[in-house]
This record gives sequence, structure tokens and C-alpha cells, in this order.
Amino acid sequence: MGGLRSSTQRPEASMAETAAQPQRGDERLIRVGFLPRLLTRPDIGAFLGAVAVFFAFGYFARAVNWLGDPAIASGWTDQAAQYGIVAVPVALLMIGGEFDLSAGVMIGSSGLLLGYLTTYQDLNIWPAMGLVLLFALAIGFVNGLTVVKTKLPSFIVTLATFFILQGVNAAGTLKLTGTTAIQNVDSASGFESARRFFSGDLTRWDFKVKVLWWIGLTLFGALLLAKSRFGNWIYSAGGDPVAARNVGVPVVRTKIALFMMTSSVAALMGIIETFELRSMQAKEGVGLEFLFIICAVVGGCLLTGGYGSVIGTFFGAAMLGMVQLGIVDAQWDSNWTYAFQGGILFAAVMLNTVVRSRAQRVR
Amino acid sequence: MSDELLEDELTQLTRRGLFIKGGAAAAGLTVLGSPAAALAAGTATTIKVAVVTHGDTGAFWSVFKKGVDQAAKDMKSHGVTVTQQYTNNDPAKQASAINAAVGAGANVIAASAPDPSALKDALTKASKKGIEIITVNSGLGAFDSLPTYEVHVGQTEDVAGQGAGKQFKAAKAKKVLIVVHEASNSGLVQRANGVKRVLGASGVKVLTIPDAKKDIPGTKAKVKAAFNADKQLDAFLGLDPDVTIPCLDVIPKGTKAGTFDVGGSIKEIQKGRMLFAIDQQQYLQGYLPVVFAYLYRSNLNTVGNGKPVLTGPGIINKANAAKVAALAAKGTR
Repeated sequence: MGGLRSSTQRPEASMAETAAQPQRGDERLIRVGFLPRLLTRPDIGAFLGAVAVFFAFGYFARAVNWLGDPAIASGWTDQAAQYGIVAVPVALLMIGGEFDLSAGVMIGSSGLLLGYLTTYQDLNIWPAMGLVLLFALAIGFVNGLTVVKTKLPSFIVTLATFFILQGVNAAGTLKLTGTTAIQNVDSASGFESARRFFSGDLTRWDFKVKVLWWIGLTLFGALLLAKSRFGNWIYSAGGDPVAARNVGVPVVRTKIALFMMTSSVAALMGIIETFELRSMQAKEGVGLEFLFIICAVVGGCLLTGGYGSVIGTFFGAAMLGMVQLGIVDAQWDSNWTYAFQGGILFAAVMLNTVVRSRAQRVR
Repeated sequence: MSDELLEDELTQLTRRGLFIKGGAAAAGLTVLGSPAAALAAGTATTIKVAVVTHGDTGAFWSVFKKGVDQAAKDMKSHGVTVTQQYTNNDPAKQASAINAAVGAGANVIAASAPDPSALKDALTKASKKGIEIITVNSGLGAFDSLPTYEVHVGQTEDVAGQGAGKQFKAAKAKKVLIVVHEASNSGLVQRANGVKRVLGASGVKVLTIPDAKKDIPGTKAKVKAAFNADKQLDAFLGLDPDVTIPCLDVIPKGTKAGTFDVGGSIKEIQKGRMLFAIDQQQYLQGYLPVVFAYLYRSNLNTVGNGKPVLTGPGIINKANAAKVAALAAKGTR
């Protein structure tokens, strides 16, 4: 961790700085040449990969007009948003030097809680959503506090949360309903009026509202990282927490906030899914945590923290969505999906390594 | 047959059983370890049946349990006592529950075996002691070689798949999309192959979605894409209602849809959104082994002739959905 750069400097800016002449004033405002800046960005690999995958399926799935049919795009963006929404805070958390393995199962937990509050406690959907978010923030707080206080790897701490939530989801749902799902959530008051904000269809091609949430959260995350003081703190907390603390960065608070962001966005995803499915299953979301991490890694985030990109993560999610749906659209045997995912991960990591070493050389 | 009549007949069976027992002993035919020996050694008045499954307390197994409960009630007057253990998918726990049943003096063990190798030692030991073994629900063919193995009571995936295929054929479906919702689950693939045997390979398209149940929105998107990519598809088969029912939203209008297992599908069948559900009638899987155990212990009757006793596929469609729904409310379907 760390060592690549001085702790409080932001990698993109510091690379850019060396590409151009160092100047006085705020380093973030330096204007540099387009090409050198482009080639040292952490998200360039994911962007190029997404473009390549898009045109590859444009060829292999030409029978269904992959490139031109909006209904095709609505399919893969739906799947991509499924990964991309939670991948935004997961990427920020990784840049901040931590993991959250409970991010997938939180989707199920929050959806089940929403279903419980509305169908068993007869709560209106809006206050129920508020309570679900509070629950998620609490889980994130516990995750974060445990990690920073015990100094245990977040991998282990959130693995424990993952198992606990998974068990509670399974046993709780069974006890409550006698089956493995909470049904008929759409009987809740306010359900239909709230549904269009979370799970409506946008156009006649069925683009999902979820896709707007994905794009919106990506822009928010990217701006937060690039333009805010909190963004600086994320980089430095992940790059070298000791040095960061020495220069006055509130590392503990930053990390806890990141964990809380992750669990609450996972809860948002659970809410979106509950609106979409009108029910929630006990197994929902389990295993997705690795796909979020894959999106972030493909998007240029380092497993060691301190480096990465939210925009890259966006393209990572887009790529996974395209691969999953493209295999179906091209009528290939979908048993290959995992192999493709692995191939993409491998290729992306290789490319990102090249980009990063190049960035260091430039520096 | 009235209950009274049945009871009479069963009483007769008991008498006949006792007669055989006496005859066998008198003729000196007892061989240690053989079923006859176990029969002779068993007390004349009680037959202890232990039902040990990998099940949980969920919807599926609660129906199974109702079957066992009812059989225990019906057979009580014939001296049958039944114990039940549900080990929640924990093979080690199931093996020790079987050992415990042996220790408690069970005469017949009815066990499910989704993971036969884990139960091999326990069931072999039980069989050596002369305890009859019946497999229920799963484990077909795994314990045929045990000397006291009696029969399998369950649904074979292949036959059930053929049952689904026949439903589609009757509905004049041309090509059916089957979603296999867990990669490398051989049972699910066997179901799909059963459908293929009826409709032919060109009448079936299999879409494997790894971990489909963990990402239902993604599963829906893929099913939608599959129908978009192959315009010949006019039918849809999910192998689990948790997968099938959400996908009903995205399949084209007029698609003939069916599912394995019942779950919430009766409502969809009544609404006309689904044609049929394949029901493996697990109530029978709970009920029949107790009766079979009694018939064997009392009368040396065997069933199946080395073949499984099939409890499925029972078909639920619009014609019987309302009646089945009423029974499901009672917890026996």
C-alpha cells in the first residue's frame, strides 16, 4: 500500500502534473495535453475494453441488430446497472483501502426488511424505506467501526457480516413466511406511486429507471472523488493511512463513512429490486459482492487501495452487463459466462498494470 | 375403500405377517442379517420407523412432514411408531441421526440422500443390522446393493421432464426455452433432457444462468434477450417457481409457460399466466414409506420390483388448480 506517491497527492493530478510543466497554484486546475493525460488515466483500460466488447458483440450478435436495436441496449444496461450502482461505493471503498464483502447480501437483507415492514407491519412504503436506509447505515457503521478499531482486515470483518446477514435472511424469511421469499410487497400503501422512481420503464424500449440511478451515482461518485475534500481523504486514507493521519486527514471518519455509503447504496439496490420484483427472496444478492469488486478492479481500482476510478468502474459494469446479455443475444452456450468474466478480469488487470507502470515511468 | 374396510384388511395383513414369521422360524430358515431374521427378532407388536431427511422446515418439507404425520396416525393402531428428523442439508448431522436411529432400535429407516456418499457408512451399518432401508425424495439407485434395501419413493428427474414435455406437446408448443438456474446441477440438466426426449432436441433451447436465483432482475433480462434472439421460441419452462414466476413478466404475450414445483404458481395458473406446474407430490414421499415399512414388516410385501415408486410428476393445471389450491391451504399439497 502506498509508496507510489506522496500520500496526500491525488494520483491522476500528480501524473498529469508531470506530463505537463509543474505550475504554481492549485494542482487540480492544471491543464495538460489530451493524449498523455488520457493514456495515464486509471479508467482508460475499462473504457477501451467496453468499446471492444460492444463492437465484438455488434459482430457476433448482428442477427439481432445488437448495435442498432434500443431494446438490446435496454437489456444489457439493465444488467450493468444491477452491478454498477453498488459498484460505485465499492470502488470508493477500495480506493479508500478497504473491502465490503457484505455488499451483495445487503441487497437481500434490505429488500426483505422492506417487505417485512410493509406487508407484516403495514407501514407505508416511504417511512419503511427510511427505516431500511437507517438499518443499512447502522450495518455500515458497525462494519467500519469494527475495521478501524480492531485493525483487522476488512475482508475478514465483512466476511463475518456477510455470513451473519445471509443466515438472518434465510432463517428470518423462513420463520416469517414459511417459504423462502416475502411476496406481495406491492400490496403496501404508496407502492405504485413510489415505484416509478425506482423501477419504472423509461421508454417504449423498456430502459429502466435503474439505469438513471447508475449514471447519476457514477457522476456523483466521480465528482466526489475528483472535486471534493472528501475525495482527497479517500485517496490518502487508502494510499497511506499513517501519513494521511499525520497531515490531518480524518482517516477513521473517512473509512467509516465509506462503509456506510456502501451499505446504504446496497440497500438502495435492495429497494430498487423489491420495487421491480414486487417480492424479495432470501438468497437475493448473495455472491454479487464479487461482481461489484470485479467492476471496480476492471475499472482500474487497486486491491491495495489509494488508486482507482469511479468512471472506470462504470465501464467495468457496462462490460459485464454486455458480456452477460451478449452471450444470450449471440445465442452462445451461456455456460461460458463465468469463463468470459474471468477472461475480462484477467485482460483488464493486465492492461491496467501496463497503464499504471507507464504512469509511473512518466512520473 | 372405506377406512373401516382398510383397517380390517390391514389387520388381516398383520395376522398373515405373524403367521409367516412363525412359519419361517419353525422351518429354521432364519439366517442372521437377513430380512427374515430381523423380522423374527423384531417384537410382534411394534414396528419402529425412522424418517431421516436432509430437509428443513420450509414449504416443501412441511408438506412432506404432513404426509409422515398422517401415516403415523393411520398406522398407529397397527403398532407402528414413527420418528422424524430433518437435518437441514447437513450430511454429517443426517449420518449421525441415522446412527442414532439404529441405536434406538429402528426396524425401518427412510432416508433422503441428495449426497449418497455421505450416508453410505451409516446406511450400510444399519443394513448389516437387518434394518430395512427405503430412500425417499433423492438417492435413487445409490443403495440398491444394500442387502435390506427396499425401494425408492420419489420423482425421477427424467420422467418428470418428460411429463413437462408432454404438457407442452399437448399445448402444441414448437420450441421451449428452459432456464437451468444453477450451473452444473445434474438434476436440472436431467429435467431438461427429459423434455428433449418428448419434444426432440430442436424443440428445446436450454439457457443456463449461473446463480439465477441470486440475481433475479438479471435473470429476467437474460430470458427476455433469449426470446428476442430466437423468434421460434413460443414456450417457457422454469425449473423452480422462484425463477419462473418473475420471468412471466418478460416473456412475450401468448408464450406457453410451465414450471417445476408448485410454490406460488397455482395463483398464476388460475390467472391464466401459466399453463401447468409439475408437482412431485412430496406428501406421498412422506406417507408411503411408513405404509411400505408396515406392509413389509408385517407381510413381507415389496413394491416396485427394483424400480422406484414414482410420486410424480403430478400435473397442476387450470382444470384442477382450484381444488389443489384448497388442499395446499390445508398443507398437504
